[in-house]
Amino acid sequence: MAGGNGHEEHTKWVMVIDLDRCNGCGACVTACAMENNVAFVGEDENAYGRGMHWLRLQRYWEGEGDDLRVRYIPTMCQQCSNAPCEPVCPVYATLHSEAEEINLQVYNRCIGTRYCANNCPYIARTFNWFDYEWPEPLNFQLNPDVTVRRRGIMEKCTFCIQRIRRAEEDAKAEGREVYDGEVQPACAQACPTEAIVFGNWRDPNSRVRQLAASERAFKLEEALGTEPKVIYLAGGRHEF
Amino acid sequence: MSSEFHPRNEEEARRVEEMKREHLLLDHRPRAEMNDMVMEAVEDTSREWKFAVIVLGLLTAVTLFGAWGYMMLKGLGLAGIRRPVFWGLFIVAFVFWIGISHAGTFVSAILRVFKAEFRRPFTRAAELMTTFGLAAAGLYPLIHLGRTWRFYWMMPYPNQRWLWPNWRSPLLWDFFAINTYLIGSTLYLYMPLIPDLAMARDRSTGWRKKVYGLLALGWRGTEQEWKHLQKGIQIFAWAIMPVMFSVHTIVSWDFAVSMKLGWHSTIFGPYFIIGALLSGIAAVSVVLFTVRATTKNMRYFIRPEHFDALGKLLLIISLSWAYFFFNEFILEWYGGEHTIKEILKFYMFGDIAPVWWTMVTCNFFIPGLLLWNRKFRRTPWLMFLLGIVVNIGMFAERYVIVTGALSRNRFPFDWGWYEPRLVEVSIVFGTFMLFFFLYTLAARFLPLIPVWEVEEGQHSHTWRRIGRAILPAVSDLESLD
Amino acid sequence: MEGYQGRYEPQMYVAIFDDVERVPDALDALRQVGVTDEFIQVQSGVPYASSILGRPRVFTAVPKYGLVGAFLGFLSGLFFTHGTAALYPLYVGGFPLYSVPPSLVLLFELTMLGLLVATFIGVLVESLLPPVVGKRVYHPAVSDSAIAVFFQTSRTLAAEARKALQAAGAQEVTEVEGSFV
Repeated sequence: MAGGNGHEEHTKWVMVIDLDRCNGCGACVTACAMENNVAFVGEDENAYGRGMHWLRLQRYWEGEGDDLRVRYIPTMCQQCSNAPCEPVCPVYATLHSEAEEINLQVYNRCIGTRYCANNCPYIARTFNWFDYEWPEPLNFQLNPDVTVRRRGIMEKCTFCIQRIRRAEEDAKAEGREVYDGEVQPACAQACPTEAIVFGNWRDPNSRVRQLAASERAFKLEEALGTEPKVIYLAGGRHEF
Repeated sequence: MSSEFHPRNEEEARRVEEMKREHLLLDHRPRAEMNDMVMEAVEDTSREWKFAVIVLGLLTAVTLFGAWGYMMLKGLGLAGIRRPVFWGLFIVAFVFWIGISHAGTFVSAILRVFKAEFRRPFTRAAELMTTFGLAAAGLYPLIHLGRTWRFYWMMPYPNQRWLWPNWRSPLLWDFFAINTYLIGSTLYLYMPLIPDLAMARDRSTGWRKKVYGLLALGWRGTEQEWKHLQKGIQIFAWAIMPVMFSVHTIVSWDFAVSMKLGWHSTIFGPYFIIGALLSGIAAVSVVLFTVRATTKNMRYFIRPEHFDALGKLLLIISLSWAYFFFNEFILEWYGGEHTIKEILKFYMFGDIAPVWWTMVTCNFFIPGLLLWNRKFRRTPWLMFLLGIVVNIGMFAERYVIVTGALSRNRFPFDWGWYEPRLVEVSIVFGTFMLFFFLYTLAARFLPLIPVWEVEEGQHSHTWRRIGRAILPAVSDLESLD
Repeated sequence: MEGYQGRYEPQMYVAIFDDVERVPDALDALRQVGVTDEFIQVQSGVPYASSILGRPRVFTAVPKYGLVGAFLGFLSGLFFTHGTAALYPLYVGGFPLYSVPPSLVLLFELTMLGLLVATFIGVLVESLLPPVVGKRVYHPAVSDSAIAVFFQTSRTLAAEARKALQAAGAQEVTEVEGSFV
């Protein structure tokens, strides 16, 4: 489809997460929060279930006694092609980007109905219940590339769209294509075991394309037909 | 019109007296006397009434608008909702009030279309409930917004870049459906009120005369006026019914069109409508009892026969509710999808179980067992209590559907639970106060009884003798052209 | 008192009845005197069909207003669903830009809204309510269920009409000021 944005053929960003490599360290959660100015809600609120993390480690225990195993699934917005959150928003605060083929959240359009969050099968969205302060010295690490959200609006993982845009602009300035691996979301960059890989699906030689060819590849709740853009590689029954 | 009936003997005279006591429409009184009775009731602004208005007004101001303002200032976090239960008491109360608003129109429109004569004295009391119920319900889509001060972005007008609201969103359908219903039901309340306002204009003085005069629009009761008004009422009675059904169906679609298990159910439309009628008709009996107990001369107009009729309606609706509930519940359970089973287990035995069992008990067991009894149906204070019980049950039903289903998700990692906090309880309490406040005010301003409709009904009721028996006979005046 | 001219100027009168059974005969008596139906207006506190009163049938155009309103409502529904989508094309949830099933909801609601509002407007316009200019004839006994028969005739005929109406059971026949509409 020739887009209206001057893209001859736009990129389709996907993420591959190898669950065999994930050891549940949580570096991705931290990196994501720092990159995207995710609010610091405090211990009590977090315990109450109001943590703002865009990326969470689902943790499941299996077995008992000596056979006890743990399974981690890092889960963020799956950037569905048929996103259930989008049509239910009355004001187009969440909609589909044609250029990047990801699911956008327009903060200043959002009025906070929270319908999108209820309709997300992955419970990937978070809501700003209050105006949150960043206690010193955390306020010094706010990322100037990312909007700080105020109370009453939804937010969610953006695939670090600010990094995508920067890479695209750099490439355009130098008159070349974005090369594979140039864009790295904060979570992928921080992952010590390189469990998270990010890239362009339309590039046939990209690493994501090669990894996704694995027999282990699957998507969360694939049968729902949401067509997520996060591909998991099965595995990860870790000894604890 | 002659409605004189001459009994032949004492036995017949006794029988006639008995039927007059029973049926308002056989118990003829001159129109002037009925007008006096209604106007006396309306102008009875006693000290108790003033006290009630002030207390209810203050309670509304503090518990509803005070708490709401505080919540807007601080953030929605003052309510107990948390991931994954993003909707809580506000949406529960929203659905509840929409349900309450249904019965007024149902009672009035359906009974009017089917020419059920017993409707005549209480249609207006029921329609007022619709209007004020919608006023309470209409606040919730604003209250529950994260940014209430941006609510007008849901209205159908473009921003400076010609971006309109998303018409695919069920919330926008809600916006249109509720507005259509609010406008329609208010006009439907107003049209039959015009002749009564003219009556009030003719018999009042001072500010009342001025206001009634303005609202009566110069109504005189000419042949043309009556003809056009009756045609209008007739069209409304037919057209408002599909609108009424659509409103609650669309409210149910807020849940049913989603991808959420426990919400995504094809039976939600009719299930919600029946639920709405159950709570609404129960609320009509609560309102009628209260009006009868607190307003002068209402014992003449509202009689045990009306509670009896409402009781029968309530019984049918309660059984229908049970039928839909059973359909909804057992089919999902039988199908055996894992997450659905977890949700149903959560309903019956989880944290929410007390609410779920309250629902089943108050909506089905109590009304289903008691309403068979004629004596029960004809005792107004018992019907009042039952009305409250059924409404508790229906509030519980909405609570289970909204928060219960959200508590159990596809990934066990996303399971959660929700408990309301003081601010939202206060706001919900406040909308009840708002409803009572508006109704109390209106009860001493608008003629609660449609006097001309009662008189019309009394005209159409006469006596007929078949063999040795005497029966009421009804002539269908409305069918004349 | 009054000049020659005044005797033939039309004057409004009202006759009050307390029982509708007497009204049809009284109207016949009026017609006998020479007052035709377009110079008669009946007001009542409850609706009486023209067949009860023996009066010409009243035509009502209220349903037509309703139909026009419904059509306009439908058109505005088309605009809200398909028009606004064209003004600012945005894609959500893999839906097509113009999709029929979800648009049916708004089409229905707006059609019904147009129907209801236009019906109400029709009732007011057809009944010429509220009055804008002039004083219209009215008798407050109407809201107490009296039936008021207003008729316009010259003073010469008035005495005869009065006598005929009283014979037919009118409680009072008096001169009033004002017009029918």
